[in-house]
Amino acid sequence: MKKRAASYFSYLPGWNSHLSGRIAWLFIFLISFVALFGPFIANEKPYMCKIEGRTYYPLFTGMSEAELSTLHPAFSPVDWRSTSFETIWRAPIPYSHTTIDLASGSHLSPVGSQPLSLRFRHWLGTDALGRDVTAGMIRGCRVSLLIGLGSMLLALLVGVPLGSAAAYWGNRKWRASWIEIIEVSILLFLLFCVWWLPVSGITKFLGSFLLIIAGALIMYLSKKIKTKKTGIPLDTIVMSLVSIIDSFPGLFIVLILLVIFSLKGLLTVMIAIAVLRWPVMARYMRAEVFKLKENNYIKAAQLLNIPDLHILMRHLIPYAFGPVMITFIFGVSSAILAESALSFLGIGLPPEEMNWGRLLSQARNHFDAWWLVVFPGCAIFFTLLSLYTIGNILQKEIEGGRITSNE
Amino acid sequence: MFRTVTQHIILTGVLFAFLISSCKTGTDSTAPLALNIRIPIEPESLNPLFTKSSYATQITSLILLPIAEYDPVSLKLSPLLITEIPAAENVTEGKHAGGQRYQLHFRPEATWSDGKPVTAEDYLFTLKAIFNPYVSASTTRGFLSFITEVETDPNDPKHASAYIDSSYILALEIVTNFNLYPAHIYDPQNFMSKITLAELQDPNKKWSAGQDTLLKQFATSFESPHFGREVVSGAGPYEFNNWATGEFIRLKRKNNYWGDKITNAPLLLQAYPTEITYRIITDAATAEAALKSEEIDVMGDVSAATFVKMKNDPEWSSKFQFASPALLQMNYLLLNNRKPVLADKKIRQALAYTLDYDGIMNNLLQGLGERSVGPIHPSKPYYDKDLKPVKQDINKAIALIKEAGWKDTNGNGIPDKMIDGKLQELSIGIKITAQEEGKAIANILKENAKKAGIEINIEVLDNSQFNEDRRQGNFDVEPMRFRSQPAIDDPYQNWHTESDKPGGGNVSGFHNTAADSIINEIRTDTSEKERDHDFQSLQELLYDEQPVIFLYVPLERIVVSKKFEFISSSRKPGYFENLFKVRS
Amino acid sequence: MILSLLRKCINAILLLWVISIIAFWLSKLTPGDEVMEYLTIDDPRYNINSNPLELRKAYELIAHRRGLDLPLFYWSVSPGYYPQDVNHILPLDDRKSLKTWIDDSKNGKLSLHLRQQLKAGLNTFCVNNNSIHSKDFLCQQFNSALKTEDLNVLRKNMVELKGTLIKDSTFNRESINQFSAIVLICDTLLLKKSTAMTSSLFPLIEWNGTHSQYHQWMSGLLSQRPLTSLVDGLNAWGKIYDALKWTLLLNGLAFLLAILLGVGIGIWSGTHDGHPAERILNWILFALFALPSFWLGTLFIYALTSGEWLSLFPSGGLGPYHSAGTMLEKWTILFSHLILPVTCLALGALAYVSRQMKQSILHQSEQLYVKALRAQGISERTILRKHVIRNALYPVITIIGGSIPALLSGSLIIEVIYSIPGMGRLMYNSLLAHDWPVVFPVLMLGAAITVFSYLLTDIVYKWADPRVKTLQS
Repeated sequence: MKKRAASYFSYLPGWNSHLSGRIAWLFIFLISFVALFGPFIANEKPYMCKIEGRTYYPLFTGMSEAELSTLHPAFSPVDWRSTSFETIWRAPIPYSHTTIDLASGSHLSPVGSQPLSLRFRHWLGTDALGRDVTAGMIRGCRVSLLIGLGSMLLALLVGVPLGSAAAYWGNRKWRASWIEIIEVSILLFLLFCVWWLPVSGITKFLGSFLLIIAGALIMYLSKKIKTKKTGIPLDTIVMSLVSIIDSFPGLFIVLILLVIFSLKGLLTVMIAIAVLRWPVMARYMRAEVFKLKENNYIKAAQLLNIPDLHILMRHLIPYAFGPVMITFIFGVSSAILAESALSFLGIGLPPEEMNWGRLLSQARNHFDAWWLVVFPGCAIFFTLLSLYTIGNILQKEIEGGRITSNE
Repeated sequence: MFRTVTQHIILTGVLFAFLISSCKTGTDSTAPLALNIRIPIEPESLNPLFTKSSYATQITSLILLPIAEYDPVSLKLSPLLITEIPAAENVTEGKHAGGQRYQLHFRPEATWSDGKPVTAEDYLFTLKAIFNPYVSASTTRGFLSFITEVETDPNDPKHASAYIDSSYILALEIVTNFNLYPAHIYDPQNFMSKITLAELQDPNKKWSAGQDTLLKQFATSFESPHFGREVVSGAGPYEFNNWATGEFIRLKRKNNYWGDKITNAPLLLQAYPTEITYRIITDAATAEAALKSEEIDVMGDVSAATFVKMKNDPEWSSKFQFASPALLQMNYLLLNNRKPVLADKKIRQALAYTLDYDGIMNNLLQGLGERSVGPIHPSKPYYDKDLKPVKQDINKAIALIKEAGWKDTNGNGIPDKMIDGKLQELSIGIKITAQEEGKAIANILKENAKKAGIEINIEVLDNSQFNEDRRQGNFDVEPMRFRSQPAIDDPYQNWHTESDKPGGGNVSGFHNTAADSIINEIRTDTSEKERDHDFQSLQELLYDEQPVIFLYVPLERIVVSKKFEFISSSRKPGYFENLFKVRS
Repeated sequence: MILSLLRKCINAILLLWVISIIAFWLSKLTPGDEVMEYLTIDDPRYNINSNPLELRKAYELIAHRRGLDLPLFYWSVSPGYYPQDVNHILPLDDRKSLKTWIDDSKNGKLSLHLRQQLKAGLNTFCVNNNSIHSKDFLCQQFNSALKTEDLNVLRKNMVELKGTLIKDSTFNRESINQFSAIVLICDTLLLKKSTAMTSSLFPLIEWNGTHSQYHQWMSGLLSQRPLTSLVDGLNAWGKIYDALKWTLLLNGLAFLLAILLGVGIGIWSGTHDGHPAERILNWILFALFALPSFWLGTLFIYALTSGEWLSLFPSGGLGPYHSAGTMLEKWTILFSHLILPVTCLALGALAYVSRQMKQSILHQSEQLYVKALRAQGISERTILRKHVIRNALYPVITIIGGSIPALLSGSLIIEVIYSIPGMGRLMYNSLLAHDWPVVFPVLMLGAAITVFSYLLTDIVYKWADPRVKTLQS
């Protein structure tokens, strides 16, 4: 049993070979744990409370304040701190990241005296609105990881297929006959006409669906007609897309996206960072596949008439993935930094959200509040450091050829 | 120009004079005195007519002078370019019968920066420039269109008469409170002298091709950056010296300023600093550092926390003086009364009861502010002192919501109610901009309202979208700042049903027949007692209705180096650059 | 060779064209009506006399002056049941509501007729009401009717109005008929029985030619015509030049510092790999990298300029270099103000450059040629100086090449904190103010530099390394 667990860990680069690698992974695990279970560590709602013989589980049932107020007169209004319960089990940090405790005062120092009992002490102080910094830090784990991982995953999802396809097929290899090109353009034109028809949305959708099916059928039938073929410049198209994104200043893209998108929040920030990051992914992937596809085993596979897609999915992308992971890991850390820069500009995350970067930028106007600097600063620093350590180890291992021999 | 008018009309309050300067006659311009002031946003133009920036107004008020302006100390109109404030003369015959006439006598000493005298022709020119249809100042036109005719005196170039046909409470301000432009500098080719004011004011006037080109040519040159950034000239004590984009704007005191010759000059005609530099420092933290290292001498709008901290720190309080005059403005939460949820008076009241006002006052403002019960500033004589500002009372809020018939029927945790056949959730959106204060208020509202079961959704918009949504009535709640006026309030603009129209002031969509009739009475009341009584009943009504949530009246926070003596005023920006003197 | 070069050039130009279209399209997606923003002053006091007709006139004037009355692109596509020239209707609010009416009723002609009727009403009731007591109620009603998207609501309002006016005996009978006509049109539109269905199977494609907003600004960009900023009326290229000069100075110095220091540290740590001092140095560098730049910048300002701790440097801005007498004095002032921002910028990049350099050194010293040189008995110092460093510098040169476009785009955060009027701030402010005549040249300048630098590296690579050519063909 124990051995098996160890072998799982040994898949992690650097777990066995470097002490620093192991520490880095442990730190990442810690952050991930806090990110996953944050709401159970810091929450103003208690796990369980008992009043007049009845037991409630406010944190687990996820009841809103309005619902609670109908349950028992003591809950109207809900005040977990001052209401006296028969029994109450609170979360370790009895504050949520949104809880505003203005009564105790803003900018409470973690070392100074606080007008609170030890159970309710703000262990890492409070910010300008009296929000608990500990709760904010815990929330920050979740937000930072989500933004870092989420945006890079999105970038990966776009960049890897595009980059590898561009490198594998290049400008000439993917060929289409002229008749196919003409058919596709007619289909597109018809779809365009359907779009502007004076009918309801569902009818439009159905019409386009039928059109596409009909088009596919026609294309299948016309496959037998032999005409001259021409190469589709896939590489040029993808690289043009990459250079279009590169040509716009990052600031422009971020501002336009955050202004236009009607849904604001984590997802938008993730998308904005992903839009900026996918070209890097695509370029790395392209370079890797370019190198790999010159290998003899790929040439052999091509000669054996194995479908291109199969070669790409099974024999190219998995081997190119190692180097791309390095970019991914470094990308996660730069996404966390980029988000903190957005916090400084006051755009991106919804205002009720809490995050390391936001705590740091609050500290700018209150330099005396060192607790707003030290704790989130350390969190960012150690997260980035862990990611870098892992990234470096991974790079060394790949250069040493260890990853490729793993298969 | 309308900005100046707004600013000057709107602002007043209680005076906080740290050191009243002894009003000597004339000024001593020999000792050089340079003043550095921080402004956070660079103005786009220094032509007061075409700028929206209040900092541009602050700067240009030293270069261009209005005919009369509110005095920083007495807060009464004091004559600047004229010898005395004109009295309204009732006209009984002629085409202006039933209207009023104001006679303006320009000061004989008053000159432009090149020494040419300020005359009635300049007054006429300024009006013509504003009424030029190609000049994009349509809103100012609307305001000044009460002036129906201006007569210049052929025998006395320093004498003009202005006529106002309808009677309007702000008639005197309209006639006197706008910046005067020198005709010979802004219109060197005398384009506007070929067209009369009456022609310009005639909405049905058909222009000949020649006139049309003249008007267009003038408008283009008047609005050009040449007159916005290179030539800014007026009768004020200062002249424009240098503007380095993104860095600073510098003014220099005129060498032979005419105001020096005036005995017992009004405060606004006095001028002590020889050079005033406005440093553009966007970031608040940087500006504070610049203030502490004495690179800038004056900083307004310091954050409340820093202000209190510096004031209590002996290291800084030995170097700086601190002023917190009460500017006549008020922060409130604008509610959209047209929305089905907020149309319910009880919900508006409940929302008002949820807010933690003490927490806001003590933490957000650090105690630098006071509460207010309604739209009337607490310093006004007719402010209703019997009403007590709303206090946080969640129990009351919950009771009100229950009373109004809201109950969670669909089990999603938010109370709901059937209104006009549609199920409405007790869920309210608040729209804010990136400003810290609004964000803080929105966060506090969200947390506090949650306790009463009201769901608040915060949405951050950029400024233009924020304003656009307010104009379109596409909002539930928006945190706003309301600027009051030094004269008697006219509640018609903001609270009368008739003002609820596109472009009207009743943005909250508050409709109340009782309020309408009280407002109409206030506008026609003749005796002060009646008026005060009506104001009181209006305040009681608004207090009960809570068409908007009145938050607080903030105090301005100004930090000034101890090197200077200065006067702090309740007029914006709270200090007057021309009155700074070296501490003796 | 020449043919492929030509093709690449054409590709680059096509790419720039696509970028320009995307930029234009994005700018048009931003919400809000640009003209209204310019027109409205948020002070009810001045809207007291707001006459909708006056406002409309002013709107059209501004729209015309800014070229916003033109359709967007060379052609415009609308559903077949749209009447012609819908995309010319101003203000935008009116156009939006008209489009909703047409979409709901599928009847373009009648919707247009309804609009005309409402406009006629506006013209009759909104003439010259110059006093506050005038009954501009009807006028306002017509104005808001033109902006009402929901036909049901519009009809309801009109019926109510008619009802109240019929009771008023003093009111003109003809005008009542006007109301009846409007209500009748609304009813017909609400029935949704359009006869024009058959002719509307194909979308209506209107050719606008050069009278389109895109063409206007594109030709404005390419021609010598001065582009003026919407915010302050200044020449856009002038504004860009002013900002670019500071950005180039700031970023150039930071870049130079980062490369020089980074290469130095990289060489040292490459040769002292594993040394405790090297580890500490790398930790410090990493910490500087991992701290957000806004925070580092503020820390410097707070600790080194404000006098809270030290007051060594001026806090932000560029200083009184204008009034400096000599050239030397001017540059001294400028440098003293630029030290902190340059340091801030350089520190962020330092970790990256030095890490690259270190790895490059380590990589090179493992190469066979180094071993061969060692075997020949050449001293370590000479090997390092003459061979390893020289070869290890190549990746750094690639970094330099790759970051030239970034040099131009500026660094908003440092510029904001240190009050430097550079490109980052210009871009940010112009974007927030929707000042497209400034935003577009900046975008297109950046895009052109990026695209052509790619082209250049491509050509240089090909010329320098024949393998690239064989690999691709």
